Amino acid sequence: MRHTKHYWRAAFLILLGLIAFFSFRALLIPESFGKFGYYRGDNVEEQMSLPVSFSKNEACADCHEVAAIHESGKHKTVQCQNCHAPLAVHVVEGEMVELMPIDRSPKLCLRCHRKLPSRPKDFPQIVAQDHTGEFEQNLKSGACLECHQPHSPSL
Amino acid sequence: MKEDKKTEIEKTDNKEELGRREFIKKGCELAFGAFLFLGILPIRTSRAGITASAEPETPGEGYNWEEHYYAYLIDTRKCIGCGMCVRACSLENKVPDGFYRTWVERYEVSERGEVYIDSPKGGREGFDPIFPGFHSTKAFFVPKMCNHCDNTPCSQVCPVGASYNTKDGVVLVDEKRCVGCGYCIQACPYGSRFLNPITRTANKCTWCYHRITKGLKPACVQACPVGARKFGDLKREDDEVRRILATERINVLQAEMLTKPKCYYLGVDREVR
Repeated sequence: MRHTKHYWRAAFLILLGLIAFFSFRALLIPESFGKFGYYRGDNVEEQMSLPVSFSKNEACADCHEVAAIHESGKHKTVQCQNCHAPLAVHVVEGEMVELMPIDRSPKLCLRCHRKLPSRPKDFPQIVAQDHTGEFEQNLKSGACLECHQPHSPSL
Repeated sequence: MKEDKKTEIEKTDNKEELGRREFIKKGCELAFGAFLFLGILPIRTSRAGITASAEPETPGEGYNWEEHYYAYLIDTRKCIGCGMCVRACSLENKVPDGFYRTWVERYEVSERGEVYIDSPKGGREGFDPIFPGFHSTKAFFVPKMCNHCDNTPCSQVCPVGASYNTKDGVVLVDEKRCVGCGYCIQACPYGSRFLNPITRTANKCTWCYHRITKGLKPACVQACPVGARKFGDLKREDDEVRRILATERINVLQAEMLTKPKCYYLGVDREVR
């Protein structure tokens, strides 16, 4: 063996390169990558633990009597938080942090009840001008609520 | 004759200067190298999930993703276009202004076949009447969102493994892993993804994964006042969506793309893509 030294040198270099490659690769790959598939396994738990903003209507009934009226009326399928705001705005860990916003604008009512050809025909809809004699833009805040009870409308 | 051959082999061996002693020595050296190489490998294989663990692990506590397989049903005949679903989604998931994880489209079709389609602010503020003079003979709303395909084009093109399908049938994006290249946004035939301008990562509907894993419904489904949006678990026998899928005439968007969407539609017209 005349060239043993060369072989050794080459082998050593290759080995060093491999070690460098794999250790660098290990640094780049996150800890839980490949735990469940070709992705970072820890992310599934991260996604699960995101904060929940919208609660159920039952949560409102704990404090508010109007929730019971709402629950038996025609608007029972409309979530409290649809017209107000997500519960997380109002209550955090059982403590009230902020008052719920109350939107009295006719725009909120017309969101569902404005006459549109795309709406199902059997859904109650109005044309503001025919219904009140005023254009939609000229209706004052609370105009609808003068006749209609928003939580449990009878008409 | 036999002896002659033997001597010949010995002669050639001598030419290469590789005797038995040398051969064993080299073999040992090679084995040592291979051993070192294999010693490093297991770090890699265990991370890539090739070595299967004895017990199937599930992420999170108090929830087993093997027991669920979700599906979504949209009944366009019921939708009133109030846009409460879009509002609920934006507030629940803190979606930046001008971007929508779910949106509502309005279709108005005239007798002559003209189609008017719009979605002002994704339908988040509701809809105003369209310009007068367009006489539509049929009109309807179509809520849209990520279809959570079984055969996902979006997660297939992701170069860093940031987008993936969970075992319970949800397509998610890992914000920490995403490099914001936007391939997935191009790959999605439904336009369900967008680049979040704040985090500069791909963003999309998660079916409110943080809610459904706690037994709640997605924010859009809960917000819908007419039951046009339904969320179901196909592994539950008494599930409503499962029953409707089995008994009614359902459709999916762009079935020709072969993406196997898990958002099913009732009453979609041919204009809807």
